[in-house]
Amino acid sequence: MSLRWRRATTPSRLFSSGLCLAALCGAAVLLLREPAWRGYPRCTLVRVTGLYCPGCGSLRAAHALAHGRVHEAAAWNPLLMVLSPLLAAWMALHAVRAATGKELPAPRIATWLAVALATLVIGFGILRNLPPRGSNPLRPHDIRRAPPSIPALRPGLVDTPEP
Amino acid sequence: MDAWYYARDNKQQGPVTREELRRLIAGGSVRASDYVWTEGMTDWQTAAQVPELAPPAAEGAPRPAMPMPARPETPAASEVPNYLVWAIVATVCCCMPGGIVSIVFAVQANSLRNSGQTAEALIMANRARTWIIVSMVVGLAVNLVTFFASFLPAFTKAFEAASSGKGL
Repeated sequence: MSLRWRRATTPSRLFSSGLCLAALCGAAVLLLREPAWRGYPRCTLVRVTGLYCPGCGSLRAAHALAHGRVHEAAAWNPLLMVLSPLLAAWMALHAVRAATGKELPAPRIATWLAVALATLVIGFGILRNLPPRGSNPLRPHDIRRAPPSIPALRPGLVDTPEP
Repeated sequence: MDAWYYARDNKQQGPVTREELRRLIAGGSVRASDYVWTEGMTDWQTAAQVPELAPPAAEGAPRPAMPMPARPETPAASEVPNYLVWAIVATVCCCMPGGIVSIVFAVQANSLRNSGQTAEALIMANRARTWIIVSMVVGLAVNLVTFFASFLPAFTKAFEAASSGKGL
């Protein structure tokens, strides 16, 4: 058996430090700025194809989470809510690596759990694009305030020509 | 009788004479970790455990019985990195198409590692890593370009306004 293999590189301490720094900066921006604000970039995929990828709305969901608005975060992107414990644990691993400089063993994930995670992410990406797209509960949407009805269109306020 | 049996890939081979088996070991087709058996032994033992199979000591300086390979043939399970979280981050953050490919490779690497096929797992992990890097770089580049391109009309309008103002 002469299977050739190359030793995969594990993230270094410097890399982990950079990642933690970037995460802190990202959290700070999310606490200070509102993603609905014009300066936030919008994903090219949704602009070009109109498709919601599994991560669509996760920036706005992260903003809502950072401000403790769990219901709003779930409306923007429920997947982020499910994955956030995993991501937090993963960031903690990198923080430990950055702080101590010790190489930690690669996390062991049970086979069923890995398959379930992959199915969850990909399946969620498919489900949230199914029609009716306007009322699909998984689409990224804002539950903060329903748009007020335009006064001119309220039946009582519409000017009717007097006879 | 001088009848030896050895096991290759869980299949019993032989019988061969002791000299033949020693030649097979010297030639490398039977490894020190392979099981051998002959009459009189209660159970199969690895070739390294049987003193009769050790190569005859050469005249002069004794050679080491079995040259240790420079690196093990299969990596340890702890050497296989797990890129599943990175793959999910790549999919969720910026770059869905390549991200999904990397998720599939990362899941395969994870399953192979859990079933002990670490060499194959490492190959899959490397593929996952390649796809993560490519999809992140491409996704970031495409998003940056389109993000700045979306400001282009405003820029040109401002530029035109400025230059016409200068002309007047």
